[in-house]
Amino acid sequence: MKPLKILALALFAAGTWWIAFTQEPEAPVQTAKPGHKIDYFLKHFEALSMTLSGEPKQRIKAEYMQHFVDDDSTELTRPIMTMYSSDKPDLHINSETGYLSSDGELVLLNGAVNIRREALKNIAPLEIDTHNLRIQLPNDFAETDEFVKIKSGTNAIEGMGLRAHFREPINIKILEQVRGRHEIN
Amino acid sequence: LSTDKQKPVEVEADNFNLDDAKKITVYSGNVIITQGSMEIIADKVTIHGVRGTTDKVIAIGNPVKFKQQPDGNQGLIRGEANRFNYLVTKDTLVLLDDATLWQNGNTFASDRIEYDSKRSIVKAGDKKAGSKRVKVTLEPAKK
Repeated sequence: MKPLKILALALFAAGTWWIAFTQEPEAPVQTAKPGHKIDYFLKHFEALSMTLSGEPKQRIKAEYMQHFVDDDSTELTRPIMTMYSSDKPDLHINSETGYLSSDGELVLLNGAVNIRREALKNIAPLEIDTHNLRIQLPNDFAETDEFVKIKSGTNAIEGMGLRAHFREPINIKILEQVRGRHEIN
Repeated sequence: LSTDKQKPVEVEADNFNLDDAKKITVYSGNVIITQGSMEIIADKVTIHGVRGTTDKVIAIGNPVKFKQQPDGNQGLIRGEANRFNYLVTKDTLVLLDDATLWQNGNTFASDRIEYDSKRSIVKAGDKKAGSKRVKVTLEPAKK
């Protein structure tokens, strides 16, 4: 009698396995996106763009740069941007990684970002620390919604959200929760 | 306090704007400025820098409110006006437009009050326009 029981149980188990197998939801088929393929990469990449009068306007350097064929975008590792202006000290912007859009107009500086300008004559030095900065090159405009800290001379200002025009006349806004400290002498 | 002047000016506000060329920083929205025992509450504050340090602070409000603890055991000095000019390097606070200042129970009201924040000395009335109306209420000394 015992073998009959075992056989029945085995049939029962096989039956439930079959039901489970047929009811299994269809695995989502990954629609294959055209490959985000690298067509070329450069090490110690450097690009200098000039003004119409042949003066250096801005320079982009990076340890590593890779260009993607499908959307013509570029990704940078440890990019350093330098903004030149004739009568003001240069502005140096660096970050952990960067992205350059295909038209070369939008730069995304990701991770920790540092913006630095030396002092010159009666122009106070300026240093800005923030994260994830979006730069519109044609408008010389930079913005982030992250925490930002500005040091200018002996003054320090911090808050949330930055909107900055970084070419003449330089204008910098902090949007929220502002704390400032201004030394007297 | 006379030591206030060595302290840095600390500011809290909703937002901030730096005009790098003019070296002007503007704080706006619920602005609170403190420097040692001095406190100014305003809607908008403009700080003018000279060679990287703070030279002049202009506060505008409806009204701007001010208080400071003078040396010794005098009571708090309080003031209100629609505009404050704080000449930092000169330790001088000029209250303009509907200005009132309370010191030791005395009240000074005028369109212009100058206050020496180091020595806690009040000078009311507008020296330029001759006799700007000044109203002074002096509390009788307590027996």
